[in-house]
Amino acid sequence: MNIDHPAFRAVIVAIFAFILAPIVVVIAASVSTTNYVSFPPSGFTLRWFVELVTIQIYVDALQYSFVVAVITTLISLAVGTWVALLLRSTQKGRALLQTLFLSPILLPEIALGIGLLQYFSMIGFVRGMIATILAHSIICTPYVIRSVAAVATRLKVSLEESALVLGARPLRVLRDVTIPLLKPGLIGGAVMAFLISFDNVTISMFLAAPGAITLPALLFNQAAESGLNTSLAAISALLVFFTIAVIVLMSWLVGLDKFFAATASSK
Amino acid sequence: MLMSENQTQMLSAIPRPYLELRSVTKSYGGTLAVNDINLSVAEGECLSLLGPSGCGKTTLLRLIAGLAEADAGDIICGGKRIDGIKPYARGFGVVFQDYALFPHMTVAKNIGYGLKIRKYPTAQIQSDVANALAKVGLTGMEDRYPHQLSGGQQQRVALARAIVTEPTLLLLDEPLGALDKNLREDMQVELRAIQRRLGLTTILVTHDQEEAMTLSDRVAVMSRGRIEQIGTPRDVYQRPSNSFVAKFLGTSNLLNAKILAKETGNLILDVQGLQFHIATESEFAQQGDTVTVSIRPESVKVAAAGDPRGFRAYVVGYLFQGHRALAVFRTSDGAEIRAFISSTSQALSEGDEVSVQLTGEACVVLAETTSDMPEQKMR
Amino acid sequence: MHRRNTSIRILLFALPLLYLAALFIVPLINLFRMSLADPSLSKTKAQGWTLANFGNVLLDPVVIDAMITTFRIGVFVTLLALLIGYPISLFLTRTRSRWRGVLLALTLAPIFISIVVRSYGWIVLLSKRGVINSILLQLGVTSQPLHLIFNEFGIIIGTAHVLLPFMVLSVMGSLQVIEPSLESAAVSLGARPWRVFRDIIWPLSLPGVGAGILLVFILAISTFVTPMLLGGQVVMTLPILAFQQFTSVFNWVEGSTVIVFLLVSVVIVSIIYERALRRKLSTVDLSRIK
Repeated sequence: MNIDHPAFRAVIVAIFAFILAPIVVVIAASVSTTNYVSFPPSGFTLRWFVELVTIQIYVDALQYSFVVAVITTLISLAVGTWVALLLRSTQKGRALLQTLFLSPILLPEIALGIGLLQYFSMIGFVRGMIATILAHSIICTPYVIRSVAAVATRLKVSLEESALVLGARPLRVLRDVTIPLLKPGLIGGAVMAFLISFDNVTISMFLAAPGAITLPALLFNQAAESGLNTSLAAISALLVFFTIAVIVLMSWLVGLDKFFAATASSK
Repeated sequence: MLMSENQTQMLSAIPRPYLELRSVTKSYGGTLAVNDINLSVAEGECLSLLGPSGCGKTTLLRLIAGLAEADAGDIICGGKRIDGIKPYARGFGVVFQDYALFPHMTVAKNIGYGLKIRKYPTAQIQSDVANALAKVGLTGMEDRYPHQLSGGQQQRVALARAIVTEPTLLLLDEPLGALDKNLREDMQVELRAIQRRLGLTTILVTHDQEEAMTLSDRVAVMSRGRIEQIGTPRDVYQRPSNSFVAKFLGTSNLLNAKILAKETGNLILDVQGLQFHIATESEFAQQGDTVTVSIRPESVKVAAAGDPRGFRAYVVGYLFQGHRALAVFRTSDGAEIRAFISSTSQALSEGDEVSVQLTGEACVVLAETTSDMPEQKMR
Repeated sequence: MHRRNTSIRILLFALPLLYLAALFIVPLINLFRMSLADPSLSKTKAQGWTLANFGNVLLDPVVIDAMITTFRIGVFVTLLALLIGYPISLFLTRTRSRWRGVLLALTLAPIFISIVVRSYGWIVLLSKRGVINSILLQLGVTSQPLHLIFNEFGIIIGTAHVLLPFMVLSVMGSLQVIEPSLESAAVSLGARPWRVFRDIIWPLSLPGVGAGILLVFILAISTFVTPMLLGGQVVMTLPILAFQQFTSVFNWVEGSTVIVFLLVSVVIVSIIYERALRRKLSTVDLSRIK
């Protein structure tokens, strides 16, 4: 199998073009001088980016998305690490419990969104920030669990036992040995949780309330209502840059391959 | 000589046993890992738990360290029952098989960890760490990280970490297993020296019989959760109590012998037509029985064919090993005997006839398993 | 002592389990409950019990139409994802280029770029005055702009693009386990590249391909955002139908029924995969051998 065959190479290039085209195109369209989206962009201007700051709903949505994502990440980290460590030290029923805790991402997101919408309204729980955070944490925690578990399984038990026989009580062992050594998994999990929460549309939409809507959900509504315009393209471009920045930061902190190893999903 | 003598040795009061195990039993999911073990260790003694993988030696070590709980029995240290005491409160030093050095801490922080937990003042921690490093010959390595050290260095840091807190008992799990041969021999010498110098009561787990014999005062040979024999290295090597011990420690020849006569303290045996007597305290063997005798290859004498003091055998193999040669003989009825002979004497060829000589002092009559022996009881 | 350990363990699991129950299990149970409620008593609250909903809703021609559309899109998306994803997986697994890490990141990173952004991109690319049409018109390949978006075609392309990374990850998982020495052995026995692929690589990659197909299909029939944005309000899939029930028609009972049907479909497809294909793939399942 010669993968250096020119025909194969051409196919690969074409496929990468396919993968990157939509993203590149959006960024390119965001600098067009026209209000409607055109490609190639006519002219070059950054005014749409500048204007974004003045459009209150976008600023609010960005802030809201950010706050929701940060709090979601914290909750997911706490619960996810807890579960990952518990699973690691469990033999009986581990597979079952693992499937159970990972199940929120195995089922269609729309089912969860609708389910929560109905359930919250049934118990009188108001839609809005707290509801959104709780919902996001349910779908983000499994990613933290996977990321931390990937590192935890390679953590030799003898390290923790060493600390024990040296006199450290269990909580101290957690603090001095376990958590520091889980850092790559924690960071990777945190970044994934953050990005998944930040990017989320479906659930955020169902649980949004007036004035409390995430940026992606807002973008969705706007596109669905009035179609695409250059302002929307500008925000999208910003989102892309932001995401790339986060991924680059994380790869610098933890390493690219570890990050994607933890992303790998298998049913 | 039979097991009962070793047994007596074991039962006879070890003056002040520092550590005692009484009827300790532990199973994992239905299998008995440690089966009714009785053991006592004297203060300052170095005892090896020797056996093949799966024999329960590591489980036993973990029970002593407190990392596992026994299902039954007592563990007594310094006169007090320590079964319920958590591993962080036992004050023992442990060196794990994979060293378990904290990868995110420097050598100094690793070694000082136990002291930090005991809330020693910083200045003292620093000096204690320096002392410990000096004891293991690694002065100046304070700021290195474990991944920057060689295997031998890591092992010494693990040792330093275990002894710096001045533990009352040192537990070592296959301490030299990961090192290559030359390094291992050097480390054996050093380890023994450190242990002697500190007078530290030590229990060592290993599957390497050479290691057990080099490092310890006594060796407990284990198999399938039980102690098959316990005694000094010389005892267990030269006087194995059963075929397991005989085969596990070095090579051994196992031959059938017929008991021709039995007198008090003496048996007259017939091996391959050769008759000799052997001093013994056997209680179970009777005249007319066939038993198994063990003799080490180095104790087998080989003489020229026809020599009346031995029995006839034919050469089936000859391996020059450098400092000695291994010769394999077979008798006419198929029994196989291995002997070490000097490499400077004339080489033997396949088919040559020789006369194989055994003496009563070099042979040991074996009980088959410990279950053949009278019940072990601890007083 | 053992008993105390077990009860501590149960307690430690209790907190996350409660959390999962409250925010996931109970809402799902409620969803099922709603699908069994009587819509004549209340359309938004669970009142009464009836199985009629399933009959009514699932035999409704509009719904049946949506089902067919949804599954049709699912199949095409999966095929496209496989067609595009397999070569990329092969390339990423085998290349010794030092850019491998970057290329892998480029393939997988889109997962983290908002789905709205990616859908926008396809709108720009595929619309009448979009990039593709502009190029085709300029090159003279077509005389009129092609209707590439705001229809099923656009949805299929867009969804395949979104789900491609999942297929790649799955297939790569299998390809990575194949030892290069197997190929060398085949070549030494006289096999040309195509045969090596057909006889060695393809069969051994089947577990990953199977898992990828399952994953992508399930995600494709459940996806909501892309069909909404790229379907131009004319394409009706099950998720969109459910969405409308909840946001415009306010018949939550009916909406719940549709979603339950979708959930059950997902479960059934998974089970079929486990039972039927597992046997077929297990004979070449390398993970068993290793």
